[in-house]
Amino acid sequence: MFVNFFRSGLSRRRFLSSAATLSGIGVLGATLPRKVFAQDQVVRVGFLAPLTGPVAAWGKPGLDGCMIWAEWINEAGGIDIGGEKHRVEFIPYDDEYDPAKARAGATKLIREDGVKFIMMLGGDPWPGVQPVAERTGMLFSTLLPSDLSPDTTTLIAPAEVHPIYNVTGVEWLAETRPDLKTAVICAQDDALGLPSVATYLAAFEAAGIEMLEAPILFDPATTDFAPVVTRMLARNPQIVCLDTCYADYVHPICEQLFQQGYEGQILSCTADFYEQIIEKTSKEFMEGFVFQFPDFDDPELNADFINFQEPNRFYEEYAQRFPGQWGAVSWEYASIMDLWKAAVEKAGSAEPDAVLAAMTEGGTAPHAFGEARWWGRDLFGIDNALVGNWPVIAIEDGKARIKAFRSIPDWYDKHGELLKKHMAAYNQLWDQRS
Amino acid sequence: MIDLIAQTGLNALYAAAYLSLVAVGLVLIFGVMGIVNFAHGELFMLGAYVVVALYAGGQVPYLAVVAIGLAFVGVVGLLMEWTMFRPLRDNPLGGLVASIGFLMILQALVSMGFGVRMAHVPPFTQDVIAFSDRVRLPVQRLIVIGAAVVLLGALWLFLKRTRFGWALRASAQDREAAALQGISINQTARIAMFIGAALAGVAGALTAPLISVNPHMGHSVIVAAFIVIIVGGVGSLEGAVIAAVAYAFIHTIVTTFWDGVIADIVGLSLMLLVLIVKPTGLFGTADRA
Amino acid sequence: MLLEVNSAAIAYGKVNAVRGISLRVPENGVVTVIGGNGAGKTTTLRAISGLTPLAAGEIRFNGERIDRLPPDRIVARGIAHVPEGRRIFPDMTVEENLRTGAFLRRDRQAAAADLESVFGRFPRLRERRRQLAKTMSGGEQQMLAIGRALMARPKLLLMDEPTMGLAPVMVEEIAAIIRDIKRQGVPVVLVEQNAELALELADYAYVLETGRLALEGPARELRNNDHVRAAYLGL
Repeated sequence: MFVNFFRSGLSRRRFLSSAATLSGIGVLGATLPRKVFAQDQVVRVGFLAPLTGPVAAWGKPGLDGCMIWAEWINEAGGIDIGGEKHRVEFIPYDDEYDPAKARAGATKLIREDGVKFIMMLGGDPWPGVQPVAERTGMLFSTLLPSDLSPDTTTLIAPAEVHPIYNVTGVEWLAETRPDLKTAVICAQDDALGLPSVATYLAAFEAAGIEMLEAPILFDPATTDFAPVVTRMLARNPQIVCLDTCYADYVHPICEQLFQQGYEGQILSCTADFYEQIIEKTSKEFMEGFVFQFPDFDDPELNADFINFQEPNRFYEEYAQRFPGQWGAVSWEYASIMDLWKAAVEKAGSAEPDAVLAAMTEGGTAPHAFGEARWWGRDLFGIDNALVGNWPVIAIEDGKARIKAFRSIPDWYDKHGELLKKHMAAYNQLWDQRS
Repeated sequence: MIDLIAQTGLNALYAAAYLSLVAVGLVLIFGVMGIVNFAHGELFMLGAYVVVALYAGGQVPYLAVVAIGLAFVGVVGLLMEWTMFRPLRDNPLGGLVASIGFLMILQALVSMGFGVRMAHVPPFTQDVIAFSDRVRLPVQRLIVIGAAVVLLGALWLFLKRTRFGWALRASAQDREAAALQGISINQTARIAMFIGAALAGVAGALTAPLISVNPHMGHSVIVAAFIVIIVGGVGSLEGAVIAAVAYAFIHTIVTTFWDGVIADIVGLSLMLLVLIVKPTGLFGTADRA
Repeated sequence: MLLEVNSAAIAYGKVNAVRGISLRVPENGVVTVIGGNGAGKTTTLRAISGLTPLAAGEIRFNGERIDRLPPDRIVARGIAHVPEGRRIFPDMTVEENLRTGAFLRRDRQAAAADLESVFGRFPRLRERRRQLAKTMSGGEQQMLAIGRALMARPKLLLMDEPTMGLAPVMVEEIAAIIRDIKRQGVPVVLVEQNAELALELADYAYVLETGRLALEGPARELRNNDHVRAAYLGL
């Protein structure tokens, strides 16, 4: 190769002088302070979730939130790993909510990008990634604890215990509105919808609320919800529960409920972009709508037991950069990062096994909504879900407001058997899923 | 129970309305040009996005936007005819493949321009005609039903009473024989493509405030439309309308009283049954299938 | 010469269906093109009507080139074509089919008169004028196809295998119709597999074999030609 180089017209003299210059710069470079170069110490975290497609609402906003988190942390000097400050960098990969793509993504993130931790949404893609996790021992997080199993010790669910936290909404509703005695529930027929249905059924049973009929499962490809809503309203329920429907469903279903004259209580897991739902219905119609995800400018989040860095400021920053995009997952991945960072700094290492040990030491950890325990053997076969308090939100005068925090373990201690029964009936217990 | 049946009937009427518009457009294109337009669902989607761009995103009055959507998507149809279907006229497989490529281009363009998440379209009107407590017809849906009746009626008059319409009918029945009577194949193809695309586009524009608008929304519509035209008879416009109404009613009733997934299965089974018993469709003619 | 085909070659994909043939059609009389299956007869008529392009050569009508025109322009010049297999419009009525034949005509009254005379010539069509064309018999459909072509008041009539698949009685009727058309002064190019009938009706004949012109001449002479008698007349 070098022979050709000379033949192409570059004289030996010019080559030698360029080489001298380059090595001179190299020597100079070695003596200059670190900060000048891009060659800082970096620790990389993978973000493997749907960034496009129908489920993107539970992936992309999380990445956006993480970017803000990373900036704040890096500005403050970065993460301290064994005495050395490291910059945090997120490497995103769009799994399009598909197991094959997720598997490809996980492999790439581990082999090519050298990440130390991978955050996922989870769900349908998880089975594609599981063999990679078991083979490499990489630490993964999921928002869906139904992915947990005793086979994969390095998968944790530290942010949400979907769908278990849905019980808090039902519990609060039953206490504050004892007049509501009947309910119907609808859900999309997929891996996200079914465990949530089982949970709501258990919660309603625990609260003594009667299900007027079996849960109505609809095809995820549905676009016209009039027939489903007509069916739900046929028996005049006092509560209509939207389970964990995607935003794409929540909006048209609410619109239909409004157009078909429903005046009762609506309960849902999420209400992403609720301002748009209000625009399609009305403020009066959405008054009292109960769901499970707060806007982080809520003053209730300034309470002592909350473990999240400046929630109100985070919300403002987010709203400024990504107007109208705040959704259920906007803060969750960032709160997982808080947990991970604390464990890394405690362990003095970013290696997955050390971090996991530090995180789970003592069986408790600081969850965003308060001190929480590592939990889940009964339902998931392994205590890798971080479970504590969860807020119940109601829309009042067009704005989401935290009405209460409820303890999930407390509910479970009282009604755990019901939950297991319903989960089993829908084949959602960890030992039923293959 | 009466209320439930009545409300279900109203729901079905709405579904029949927009499905007939889409299916008739598809039949027109296939019948006259012999092309299976796989991009038809994306033409529907494009009509919805015209509403997103001009009505949700701009200040243009809704009904004007619907008219613009009809014309715009019709022109896109002309573009498709000119760039793809005419050069590939004697290559039906090529036309099909090209239309699949085009649908991907449309999806990609819309995703880039508007994002992949559901687009928000505020309602045009929130008025509701309440026949009783439980039987209600939102005016927004009534508009769709009314528009479908008017447009399909206009199409019928066009086909039966005008020279262009006559040319379309003849071309749909036998393209070469029509050419031998002096009917211009190119002009007829252009008219068929414009009308077919415009019908899909206007259906999208009319239903945009009522359904989830996203770049992939064409998919479920096209599947239903294909079932409808196979059942109705691939060359027959009347067949398409009748089959669309029947399919919409059956699907809505089964979804309401049993299950949405079962309704899909029933629809497909119906199609299979027709294919076995009368492969050219209930109203179809021998040739075209 | 009304119609001239000069050294025409026509290809289907890579295959040359017709190579280097030349035909002349005068202003009156019947010219016939006979030959076996796949000889290229239908291909030649389709090329004249513009349904199939020429790979080489030219076609002139009244001295002007028509081989690059679209089919509708060729009809406008006055060439009507009764296609092989009749190709009537199945979901239109008899009357609608006939009216479609007059699609390019602007002279409404004359066209209406022509409709009447077609019904006069084909009384069975008048009986069935409101019937859907697909419900008629083969022979009736053939009459309809011919009537439809006549509705254009053509200057030249192309007929492709009009007696194919018809019973002998119907064949006789069609033959009578062709004689009638000839009597009325409309020149005809008749493509036929029924060589005996074709040579009886025609004034001049061309014999196509595998895409090439094998023989041509006045019909009377070809009837006595040994090769023709052996190959096409079964004698």
